Formats: sequence, C-alpha cells, structure tokens
Amino acid sequence: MNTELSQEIFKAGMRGALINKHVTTSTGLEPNPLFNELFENEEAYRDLYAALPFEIVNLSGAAYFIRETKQQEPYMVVARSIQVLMDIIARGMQEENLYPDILLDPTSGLPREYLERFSDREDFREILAACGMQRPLLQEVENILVGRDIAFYNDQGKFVLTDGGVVFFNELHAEAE
Amino acid sequence: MPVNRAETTKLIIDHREIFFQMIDEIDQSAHEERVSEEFSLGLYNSRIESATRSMSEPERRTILDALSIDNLKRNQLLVFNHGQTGRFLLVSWLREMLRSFDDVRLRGLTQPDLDHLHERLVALLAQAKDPALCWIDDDPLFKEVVATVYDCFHEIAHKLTQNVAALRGRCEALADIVDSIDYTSMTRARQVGRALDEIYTIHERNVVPTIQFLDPNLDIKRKIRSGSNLQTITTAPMQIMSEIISRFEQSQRHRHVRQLQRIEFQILSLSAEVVLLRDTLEQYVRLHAEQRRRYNKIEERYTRLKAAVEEVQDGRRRGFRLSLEDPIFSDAKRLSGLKEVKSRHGGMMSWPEKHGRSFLDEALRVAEESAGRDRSESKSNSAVVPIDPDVVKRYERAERLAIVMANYRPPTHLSDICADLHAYLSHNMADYELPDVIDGLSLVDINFKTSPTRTNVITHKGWQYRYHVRSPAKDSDGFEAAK
Repeated sequence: MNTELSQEIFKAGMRGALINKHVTTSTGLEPNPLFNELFENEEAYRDLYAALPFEIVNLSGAAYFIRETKQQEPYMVVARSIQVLMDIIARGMQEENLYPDILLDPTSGLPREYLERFSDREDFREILAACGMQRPLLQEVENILVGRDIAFYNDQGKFVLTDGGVVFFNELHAEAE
Repeated sequence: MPVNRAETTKLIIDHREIFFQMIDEIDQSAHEERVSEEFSLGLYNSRIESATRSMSEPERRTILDALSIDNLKRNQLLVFNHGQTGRFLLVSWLREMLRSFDDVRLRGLTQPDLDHLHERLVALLAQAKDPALCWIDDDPLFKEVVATVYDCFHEIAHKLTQNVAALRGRCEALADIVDSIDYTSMTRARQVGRALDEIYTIHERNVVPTIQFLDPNLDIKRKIRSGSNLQTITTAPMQIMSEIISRFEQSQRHRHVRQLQRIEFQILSLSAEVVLLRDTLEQYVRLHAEQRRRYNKIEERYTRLKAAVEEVQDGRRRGFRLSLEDPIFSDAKRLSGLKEVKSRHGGMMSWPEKHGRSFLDEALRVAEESAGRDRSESKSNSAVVPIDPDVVKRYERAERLAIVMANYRPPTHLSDICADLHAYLSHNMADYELPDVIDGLSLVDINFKTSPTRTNVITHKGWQYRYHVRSPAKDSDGFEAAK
C-alpha cells in the first residue's frame, strides 16, 4: 500500500467522491493512480476500512467509492440526488432529441447551455425541490455530480459522465432486452 | 425554341444534378410528401436558374429552352403539369433513369409492391393452367400467354434486382452516417438518430418482405382482390414461378423452360445478397432497438418521478418532500452511504487530541448525570397528573379560532391561502398571533397544492412567518377540490 496514495483515497472517500478508473488530465483521459492502488490492494483496503467502519464499494469495475456503514443521518441523501439529477438530465436531453450516448463519450458531451436551459424549467425545479435540492439544476449538477467526480467538463467545456457515472447512468436507463 | 426529345433527354442527363437535388429533397421530406414524386415548378425554375447562372448566354439559352416545362410537355416527358398547384410529374421511365444513376436514390420495393408482383404470378399460373389454353405454337392465345409469362418474369427480375441495389445503396449510405458518429456536433448526433430510424424502417419494410418473397419454402398468407372477391394466396411467389415453368415442361416446351429457368435462377440468386444485407443491418437494428428501449426507460422513469412529486404536493407542508424510503429511489441504493459532506450531516470530525478532550469528557459526564436525574424524577412523579394551565389555555384558544373560522369564506380566485387567512384573522380575532394561520388552515375545507419554488413572508407583531405558497388544488374538471 502506498502511503501517499492511500491518503488521497481517504480524502476522496471522505468528500463523498468516486474514484474512477480514469482521470482527466491536460492530455486527455489517463489511468487513475488512486483506482489502480485500490484495485491492486483491494483486500488490504477492505480490511482497513471495515475497521473504521467503512466499506469499499466497487462500481462494476469502473470506479470505487467509500460507503459509511454506520451513518446516523439518512445515508440515501446523496444517492437520491444523483439519481434524480441523472433522470432529469436524461429527460431534458430526450426532449431536445439528443442521444444520451453523448454523455458517455468523453470526446463529445452535453454543452453547458443545455444544462442552463434545463435549469430554467419549472417542472424540473419542482422535482428538485421535492427531492431536497433548492438550488438551480446547474448548481446542483456542479456540486453533486461534478464535485463528486460522477461527471466532469471536458476540454470543450461539455458535460460528460465519468466511468462510475456511466455505470450508474446505464443501470438507471438501459432497459434489459 | 423547341428542342427535340433526344436532345432534351441528353440535356436532362447532362444536368442531372438539378433533378438529384429535387429528388433528394423529396426523399428527405416527411413521409406523406415522400410517397409522391411530383416536383414543385417554382423550385424547379429556381434550381435551373442557379445552375445556369455562370454559363455563357447561348449555352444557357439552350438549356432553358430544353428544360422548360413547355418543352418537356411537348416531348411527352411529363405525366402532368398542374398549373394551379404549380406541380408536375416526369414520366416514370425518366424518373427511374434519374434514380438509377446512383443506388442511393433508388427506391426499394415495399410489401404492397411485392404483393402486387405476387398477385400477377397467381394470375399467370391460372392462365397457364387454364384447360381452355391450347399449347400450340401458332395459337394466338398461347402466344399471348407466353409473352405475358416472359414479361412478368423479366419485370420481377428487373424490379427485384433494382430493389436489391436500392437497398444496398441506401443502407450503405445510412451505415456510413451511423459509423462516422460524431457526437461533438449536435446536428450530427440528431442525423445519426434519423439514420438509425430509417435503417430500421428499411429493414422492416423492405428487406424482410424481400427475403420472404424470395424464399420458395416460406408460404405466407396474402390476401388479394380478384374482381370483387378477396382471395387468399398461400403459395410462395417463387414456388408459383416454378409451377409455371413446370407447366411448360409438361407441355414439352424445353426451349422456354431453359430460358424461364435462367430468369428464375437469376431472381433466386438475389436472395443470398439480400440475406447478406439483412445480416449487415442486424447490428444497426439492434442498436436502434437498444436506443428505443433506453428512450422508453427514460420516459417511464421521469413519468413515475413526476407523478410521485405531484402526489406529495397536496398542501401539507410536512409531506412536501419525497421520502428517502420512497420506492422510486430504490435504484439509488447502489450509491447509498456515499458521504454527505455537510457538517451537520456528520462530516469528518477531528477532535483536538490534547487541548479539547478533557472538556468533552466533562460535558458528557454532566449530560449523563442530568439525564439520570430527570429519569428518576419522572418515575417518582408518575402517580400525580395535574392539568397544565397552558393546555387549558390552548383548548380555549382553539375553540375561539374555530368560531372565527366558521365564518371564513375563501375568495373565488385564491392564490395564497396563508396571506388571505392572515388578513382575515387579524381583522376578526382580537388576540390573533401568527401560529393561528397554521391552525386555521386545518379548518379550511379545501385541498391545497404547495408550490415548491414560490415563497412568501407575512409579518405580525414583530414575528415573521416564511412559507411556501399554497393555492387550491384543482380537480380534473378545473374546480377547487374539497377535502
């Protein structure tokens, strides 16, 4: 176990962020050293965090996150927000006749103007409010999805899902045959 | 100046780009307009005008003369030219010729086209089996039947060959669009969607029916109209073709048999090509189906979410938010336990090891002792149950409020019940206080909808009440719904 990387992993986990398989750098997408560290020493990290008590969760081999197993506050708050934001963005794109696949491709992405347009929609605002999100959609997206490495803005400034974000998005919206 | 038919046809071929543009516009238009191949006169003239703009005057003049509607009409190259609607239609051989320059523009055969060919074969077999037919070479009726058989076989071979070329050309063009997918352009991403839709349509409406037509062992029921009767055919088209050839064989017409079999084999050889085309299209059809399923899932999820939100907006502030336990969030459990970073939600606390620990221990000790004392006191006093004067006051106040509220009539167009109640109670209740608004609400016999985004503040005796605006919920007929 690498001490420096393990501290970074702990910090990412404590701010409720995903540790994705890839990270964006100035040269594009590159393998994430934190993910590799976890992947190579998964058992050791599992034992370590289980004693704290936390749980290392593997998201279909695309990302890890740290789950707090003895949380006192409702532990679904963040998860709920992520689900609702993804549902709203997918719906907005559908109404704009855009294929959701553009969210999954790091070289494409959804232009920010679309998120701004979705932020102005009254029906979306009502859903956000009923799910405990009081700020405009764009801000919630940046705080919850971008802030937790579930999504990022690519070099063209377009909104794209990270590896873990893609897994969750597909689980929500890909219907089995 | 009139231009003869041969020269006009040559100029049409030389300047086919003008016609291609118009054909493409028709093919890309809505389905209703696509079924007809009529051109708009205004569009045609403007296309000719822009195509000849850079030419020398004599050359331009010749083309304008040759391609003018009057000249096309004079040379019998138009089916019609309708002055009132400004539309005209080129004769079919000219349309087919223009489309045949590029496979992409060829039109595939649809089920009705194939049904029509099938019907012709049935009629032909009936003629060949007619006992009244004399199989004598010089018999005029026999000659007619032989000519019809050749015409029909040739036409089927021609149409199917062209059909396969059309399908191949169109599918390759569409596949190129999908394969060169470029999501960085929003327009391009939309084009891909349309291309996938069209591939799916071609697969279902052209390719599958063609394969079925060419399969001699697949007997599909088709209903055809024979005179005033509706007749059902159950024999496969290629099977009928074989039966017609067999009839010639039985009559010892071996030369005809050889020639007709050659056409039959040529038609059958197309099936391998269509099957190959179908296999190529399968991957795109699967992609289309996948996109369609995703589309439906997004639609279904959003509808459920919206319905759940609308259900809780019934005016009760307490149930205003969706519960975390709501089944609609079951999928989110995958990410449950993801750290909530707000400090009030238990963010990482690093208690100072040296300087603060003793204060915390002392605070905990005092709190524990106090809690133990309270518990023992409540046990010893459990036998005595005095009536709290505050409770009596609250009951009296509630009674007064109920009397005042009995005369409350909400106005017809009520947009904010709290503001209206506040105004009413401050005029009609001497010791009115802000919490009475909340108690008063429970006595109003109307269902309310709470806006999650609109808020308002009312002030009274230095106190403020900030709330989400509540207005009467309408029933399906648009009337205010009573509780």
